[in-house]
Amino acid sequence: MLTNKHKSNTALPNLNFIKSAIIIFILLTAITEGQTTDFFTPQNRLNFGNHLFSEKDYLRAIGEFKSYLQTTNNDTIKFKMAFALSEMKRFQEAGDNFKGLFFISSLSEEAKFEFLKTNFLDEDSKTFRDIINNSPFLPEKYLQNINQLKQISLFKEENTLPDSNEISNLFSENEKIELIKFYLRKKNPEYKSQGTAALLSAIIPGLGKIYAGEIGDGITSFLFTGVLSFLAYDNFKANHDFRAWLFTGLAAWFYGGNIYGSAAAAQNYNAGIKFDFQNDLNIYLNSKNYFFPEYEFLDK
Amino acid sequence: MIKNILNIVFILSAFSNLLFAQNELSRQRDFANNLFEEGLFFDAVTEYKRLQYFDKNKIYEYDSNYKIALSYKRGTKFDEAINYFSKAVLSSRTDEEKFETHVQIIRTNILRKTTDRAFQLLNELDKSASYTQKKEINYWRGWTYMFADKWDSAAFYFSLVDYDHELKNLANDVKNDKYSVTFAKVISYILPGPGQFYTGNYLSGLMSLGWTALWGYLTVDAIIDERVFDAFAIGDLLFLRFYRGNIQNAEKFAVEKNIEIANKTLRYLQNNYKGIKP
Repeated sequence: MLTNKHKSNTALPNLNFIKSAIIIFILLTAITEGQTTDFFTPQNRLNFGNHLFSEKDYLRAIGEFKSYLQTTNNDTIKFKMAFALSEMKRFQEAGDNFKGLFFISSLSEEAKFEFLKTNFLDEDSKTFRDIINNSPFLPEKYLQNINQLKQISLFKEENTLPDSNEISNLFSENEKIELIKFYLRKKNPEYKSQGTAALLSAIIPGLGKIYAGEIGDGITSFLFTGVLSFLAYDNFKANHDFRAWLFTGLAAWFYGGNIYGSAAAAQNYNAGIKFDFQNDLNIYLNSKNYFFPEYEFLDK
Repeated sequence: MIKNILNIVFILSAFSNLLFAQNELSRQRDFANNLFEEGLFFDAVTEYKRLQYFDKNKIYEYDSNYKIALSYKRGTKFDEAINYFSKAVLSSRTDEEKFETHVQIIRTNILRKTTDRAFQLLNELDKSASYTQKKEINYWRGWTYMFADKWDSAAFYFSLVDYDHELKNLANDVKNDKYSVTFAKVISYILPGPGQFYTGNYLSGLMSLGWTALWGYLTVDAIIDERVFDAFAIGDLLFLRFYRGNIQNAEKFAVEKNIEIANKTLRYLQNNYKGIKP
């Protein structure tokens, strides 16, 4: 009996202990259930948006930022949203968003610069320079970058030439050397004259094409026109009138076509020079990220 | 006693936190899965990425990577799909998962028409595959050959899966329906025109025949009259020009017809084939 009583006395505290543990567990679960992570709180959406932004998944990042901005006013996030639009080449929307940060914002200078950058990237160099020349809101902090972009826009436009003195003043030593090379290529392009090409082909068929760099075509044109002309002459001599006139017509056709083709060859050659220049320039500017400034706050 | 209670409370607390965090994550996974099932792939990718971001213990790493890749694949963004399938391979937990994901990479390469890469991956996968896996590998080899326009090889690999496989018969039909480019060229060498007739381009064949006959006649006429230069000029500049053009045309038409036949079959497979497609 004593043993049983002793047993029941030791079992009682155990039972109480289990009861207490269960109650505490229930309480804890109730508390933790209330504290479980809500992935869609503004702060979590912001964190997730920043993560997507750093992964360059801009479209999704914008969605998260928009949601966050419905509850909180945050200029950095507004800036990041506009920047993401710019990276997605939605320049018009990006520009409009940057405009919203022009005044009463700690990022006013950056927003003004980025607004100009969207105009620069929108491939309308003239509008970009008009804005720079007429805007009363140029960001002081980024004046050098703006002037650099202005010179680059002059490089990119077909009929304009940048200022070599400005290039010397605005860029570092190595950059200056490269850009002056581009400047000289643009100033003295190795174009071929269309008139000269046509004239040369009028004198000796095919010579204009050789002048325009199409040596194989030039020799073929020369042989073709020469052979057809000889056939015409030979047939006239042998009194084969029909064939003689047929070959005369063909020779005249090829002769005229060759003159036109030579002018076109010169035009193609010049287009190639322009294309190579723009291509090399773009490769260089891309390697330098167009001398755009980098913002540390974007990585946070 | 108190110490015991505190220990148990601590354990239960940790367990309950983990449990509810997992609940939250599984709810997020279900949400993403629903979007995926509804075909809202852009939103599904967003929600799987959110799941990944908050899944600090990487419990759903494989599933989310795999589903993101599938969503990209359904949205025909094959480069991104392969990128995420590759991440899924790295986070796979079992050999089956790894094999399945590798197969998905191969299937995406087939759809992307990077068939050389698909063959390379199939060969790598084949080295360590089991018997049933080898069957699946041969099935996808067959598909890769179809997309690489090698229908006889496709038929061979489908026959390894099943001797009477539906796709084997289909690939054989395409092989038989296709025009022989070599035959078209050879008969055009012998007589200008029939190469085009063979592929059903009768007008072009007649034109070739007519022009080569005319310039051939003038060349022979010049030879008979001993006008050697005329014969050479007409023969070289006109007769041979049309003769060569006739052979090139015969080849071009045969190639075009073959592309048409292959594309028609691929369209049929896309719309009507009930089996597993890339």
